[in-house]
Amino acid sequence: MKLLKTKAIVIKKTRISEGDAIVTVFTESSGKLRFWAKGLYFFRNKYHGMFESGACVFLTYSERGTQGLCFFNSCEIVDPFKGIWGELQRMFAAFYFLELVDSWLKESDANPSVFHLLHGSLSLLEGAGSYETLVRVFELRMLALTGYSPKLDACVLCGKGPGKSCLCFNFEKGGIICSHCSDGKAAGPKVSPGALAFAAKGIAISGRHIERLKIPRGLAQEVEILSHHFLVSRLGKKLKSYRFLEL
Amino acid sequence: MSSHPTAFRNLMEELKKLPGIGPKAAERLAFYLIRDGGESVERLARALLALKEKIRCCSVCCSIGESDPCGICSDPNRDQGVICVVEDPQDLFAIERASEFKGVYHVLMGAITPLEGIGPESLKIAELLARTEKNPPREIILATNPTMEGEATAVYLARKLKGRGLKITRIARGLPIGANLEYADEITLMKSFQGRTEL
Ligand SMILES: [Zn+2]
Ligand SMILES: [Zn+2]
Repeated sequence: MKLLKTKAIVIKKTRISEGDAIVTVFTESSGKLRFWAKGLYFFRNKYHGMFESGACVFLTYSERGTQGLCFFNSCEIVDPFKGIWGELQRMFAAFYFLELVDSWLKESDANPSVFHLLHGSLSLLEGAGSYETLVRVFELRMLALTGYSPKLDACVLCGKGPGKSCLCFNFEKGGIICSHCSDGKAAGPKVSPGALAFAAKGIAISGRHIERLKIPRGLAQEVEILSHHFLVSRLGKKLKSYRFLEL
Repeated sequence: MSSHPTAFRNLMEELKKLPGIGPKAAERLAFYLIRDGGESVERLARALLALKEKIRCCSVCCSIGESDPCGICSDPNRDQGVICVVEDPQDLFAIERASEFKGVYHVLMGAITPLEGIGPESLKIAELLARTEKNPPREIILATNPTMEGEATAVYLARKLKGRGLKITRIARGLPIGANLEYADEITLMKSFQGRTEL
């Protein structure tokens, strides 16, 4: 069987017996995949403790078998992202990123850009001052990189630019609707030009530049509508780890 | 539809509900149990009934025991001034095997696990806070697993317990990342206790 090698970030492990686990990882080259790690929970296992959520590893595996599980061959740690540990909000943000990747992408949906987004965001988390901006940008970039960017530069119905007035964000249409088109009817929650400008920057930004972004004062909830709530509406379910960001 | 006899099938169904037991394993276990004409079945049935009748949750430490408070909580030779906080009863028994620790325990019954939606309210954290408020100990040792979930739980607890003038310590990093206390050998466990650091 052909051995494949790739960088991967551990999403989670599920214990299936005294010693064994099913490990879910997000790989750089082949997207999300799962494999059976035999004896992982035993202290003397070579890989014991290697598959911690959020750790970046270098994985050798072979293609899927009948149950959709890959065959694990070997693994070494590339970066455990230990800088995230010990700080509650950093850890919770990391869990949220992982759950989002796990829920948003189907198995073997390869997307190296999302891998780099996740890797980069975990690395930024290690020294993060403001988790909120990082979380919002992660969501917006995730939408953009998978082809679901919200349409924010013009009304989705008439195509007119947003101007300076407040607009509605329509989840179903995935974009803004001008006051003329909504015609007094609530087409969705109201969003101001400041929130739209931040979201547009978040969608387009890359790498270290994220640190220069800041959510405008008083607009956190509106930005959350354009990123998190839009994502959840597309996903069709809530993410379990999200409420932990508030703890 | 399975062609096993009804009683056999019922047993298999019950076994299948246990963690890590699939249909094949359930069938294998059921065959194993009937191989000696039922003696194993009787012993197992008696053990299961005793479990139901005699084992209870300790209202002090939330662990399991044959009495309430449990044997450890009611032992006058244990130091009530030092509370070791662990995730599961298995961790408590692992630490007891290493027999270095002479204080008492608090079992959280899990760890904060955001990916499964398990938050502080699902764990025995309120019980720990109430217990330490009523009888403030000299030291609280946070011995949750060195996994990200265990670490998040320890940091959360340290934050909640802060400002009460209690000494809060975390077991040492001698344990590798991601380790499971339950499976740690006695020497490693002993060292991680001796090397605990104040938070
Ligand atoms: Zn319009
Ligand atoms: Zn007790």
